[in-house]
Amino acid sequence: MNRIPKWRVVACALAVMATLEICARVDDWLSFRAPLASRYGFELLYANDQLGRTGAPHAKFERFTLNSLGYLGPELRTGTIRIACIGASETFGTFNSEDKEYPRQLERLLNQAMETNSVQVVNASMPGNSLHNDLKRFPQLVDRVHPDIVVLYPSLAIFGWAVVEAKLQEQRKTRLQPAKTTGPPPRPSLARRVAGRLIRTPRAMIARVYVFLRYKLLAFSPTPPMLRLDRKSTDVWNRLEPRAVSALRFKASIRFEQWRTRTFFPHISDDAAPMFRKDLLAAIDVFESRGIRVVLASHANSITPSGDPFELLRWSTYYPYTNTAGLLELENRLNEVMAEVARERGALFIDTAHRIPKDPRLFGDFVHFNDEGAAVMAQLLAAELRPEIEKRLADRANR
Amino acid sequence: MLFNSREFVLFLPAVLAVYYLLPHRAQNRFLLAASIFFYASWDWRFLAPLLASTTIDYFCALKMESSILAGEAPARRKKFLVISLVTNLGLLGFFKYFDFFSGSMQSLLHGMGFHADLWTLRVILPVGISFYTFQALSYTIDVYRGEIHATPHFFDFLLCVIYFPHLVAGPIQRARSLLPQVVYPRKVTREQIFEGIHLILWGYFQKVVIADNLSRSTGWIFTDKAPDAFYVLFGTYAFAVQIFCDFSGYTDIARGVAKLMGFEFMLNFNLPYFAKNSQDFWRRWHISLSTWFRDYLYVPLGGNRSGAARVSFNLLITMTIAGLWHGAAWHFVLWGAYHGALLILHRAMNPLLSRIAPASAIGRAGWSAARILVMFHLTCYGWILFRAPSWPSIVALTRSLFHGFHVFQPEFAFWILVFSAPLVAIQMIQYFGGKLYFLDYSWIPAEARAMIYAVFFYLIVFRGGPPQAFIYFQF
Repeated sequence: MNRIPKWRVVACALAVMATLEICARVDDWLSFRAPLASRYGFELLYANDQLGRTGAPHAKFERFTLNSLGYLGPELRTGTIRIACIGASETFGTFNSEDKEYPRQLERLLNQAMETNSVQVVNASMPGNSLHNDLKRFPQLVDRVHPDIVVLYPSLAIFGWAVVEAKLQEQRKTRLQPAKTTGPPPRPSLARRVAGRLIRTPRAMIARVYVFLRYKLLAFSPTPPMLRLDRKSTDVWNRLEPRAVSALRFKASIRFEQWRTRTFFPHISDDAAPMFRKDLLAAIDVFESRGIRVVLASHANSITPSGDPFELLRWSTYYPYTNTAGLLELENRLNEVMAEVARERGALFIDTAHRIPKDPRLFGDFVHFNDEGAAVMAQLLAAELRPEIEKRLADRANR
Repeated sequence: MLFNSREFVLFLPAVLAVYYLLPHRAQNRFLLAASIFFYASWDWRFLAPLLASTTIDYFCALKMESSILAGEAPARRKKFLVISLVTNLGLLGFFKYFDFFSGSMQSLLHGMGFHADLWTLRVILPVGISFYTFQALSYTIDVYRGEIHATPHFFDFLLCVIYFPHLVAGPIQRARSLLPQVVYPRKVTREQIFEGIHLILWGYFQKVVIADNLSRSTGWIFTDKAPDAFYVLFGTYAFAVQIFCDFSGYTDIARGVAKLMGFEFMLNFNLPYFAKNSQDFWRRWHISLSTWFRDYLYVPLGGNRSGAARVSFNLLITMTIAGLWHGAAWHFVLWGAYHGALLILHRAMNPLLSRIAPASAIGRAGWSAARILVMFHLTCYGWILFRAPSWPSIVALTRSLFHGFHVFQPEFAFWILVFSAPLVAIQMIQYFGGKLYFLDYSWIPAEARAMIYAVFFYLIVFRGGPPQAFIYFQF
């Protein structure tokens, strides 16, 4: 056989890459009627306004279609009792089939039970949203949706980010403020200064590059990656990657994040519970001041201390600032805070964390419900909300 | 470890990477270790029967060889052949057929009014036992016949039997073709690499894209409560394509993997649905098994050297046993007997068919097409016998098929046609182009071939059906 010219090899490689990309685009078009030429990714669902990140009106990505207000699901109907479900990816239904996320199932269950079509459940959640950041958006939500009932199902690990952010801001402030000392500080020795610079400068540089790549260039940049194949191949790699390799990768990313932020809580941070309590109270104030009934649902997960350590490790990558025991402690403590606040304020508390079995068959991963899990969650909420809805329907009928 | 598993996707590149770095003898030892790992990853306990039967075959073959060299009478070496046969068939019978015969005997006695509580051991079938038993048997029988020499190197023979690409579902390699490839140094040519990659991609495409997607349409058809004739007909077409793509896909992957290591495996499928009669079908379907039965059962029974009645008997016995080889169930026996009956019928009708064949070119083409179509439908009916789980379901499906069409569900037929279309198109190219390597045309530029492979690759990775175990693994 003759030698193959190098340009031919390069041409073949380019042809393969182009064909794969065209296949990915045609596949998206056939499956989701996605545009062939323009960008297509999860970030299409997000928009930014003066209050921060929110759902983009009329956005569509794969099975997710947002309405004109930027909420997942159909447009608002008039004359209905409205329930707004607020949370993060667990509520949004990242692991659910179309129309199988728990707010949608809850709506179906309630309407079936009432034998009417007078209940609408609005899925007012976005993946990655935390109660702390959503607080300033709640008045807008009330004005737009006019909910009768609000179900708060916050993602607790994501809430923990707010604690870390507060700690980092504190660190920055401390660095900027002059040290309160009576005399000039003692000058460290030359060797100490050089050593300190040698340690600090690379760390700061690496951290900056990392933040730029992860949060600016790749994730939320206005021009996200052009290749559709990139997204699809990541999904395939996640399926193919052996557990041992994934575990190593998770551990490395957790260590790196701890090293980058210089943040590690061996136990739950002292600030976490009071901060969460403050945010919950603020949220309840916003809703109750407008006559909206608040329902707090504790955060369910499939993890037990004796359960699958790999899943716990995977969960830790979402909140790498503590160890796995600390993560479970954070989860339990914040759920307790939710129960305490509900008791104090007379809000309805549904202890989903304990009432939904820690059965991996109900979860797509460690915290996200699959379709069966979402059905269990919806049944639990429906059973608790039904008397309230019946009362409101009766009031309306009397009026 | 299945070819369509995540583990194999990681295992194969690792094996190839090490394999290419080693010299010949070390390559053999490494392949042996990799093959043992491959088999043990399913269940290490079943290495014991595999190693035991291989060891006994090795010593029996050596004894027979020394008997031949010493010029002793065949009767002297026959006892070693008997030992090998008893060991191999005994293990196969124990693991595969003990519960079947015990259960059948129990049912028979129960039917006759006797109460008998016979043993059923619920033994788990070691994966690939039907395949490696036949591979090992072909070696000892060939040595007994003096057709090949016994190898003095145990590990070479062990590698022949246990070599992972063909270990669990064939093709059933004869020692006379595989042993020299193990013993002598192999050179991996660029043609072999291209052909190997072609076969692997085409094999995965058949399995993952066609067979697995079609499994959604066939799974619910073959039950006791047979659906309408429309579903039975299209479901059977779908199963015909599914079983071909499942098994042919496996074989192509096995042949492709072997080629990447410089081995050549025999062809196992040669466009079987283009067969014009049942004899032609068995020359094209599972060729390694049909030739095995021809050489080691049909010919020793007398083949077609005797009268018509004896030949019919030989055909019926051979095909019934071939049916039983597929699985320990009566519907497999029935399937084998059905094909035996088709072969007998074909022998009887062949003179008549030759006389009435048209003479003109167009007439001949039409006659061939009609025969292919008839044979395809006869084969499809055979698949009902093969796939139906019980006798009542065979009756129900057959009755439904002839009970008229009351339902028309275009979507059901559409998806079957969509997933069958690539196979039909490519087999047309293979059939009319006269070669199985369907991209081997000088007018197709390398870039275009690369693009076709890229489409295959994309569909395999992103558009495969729900993962299913290979159908022939259970045999």
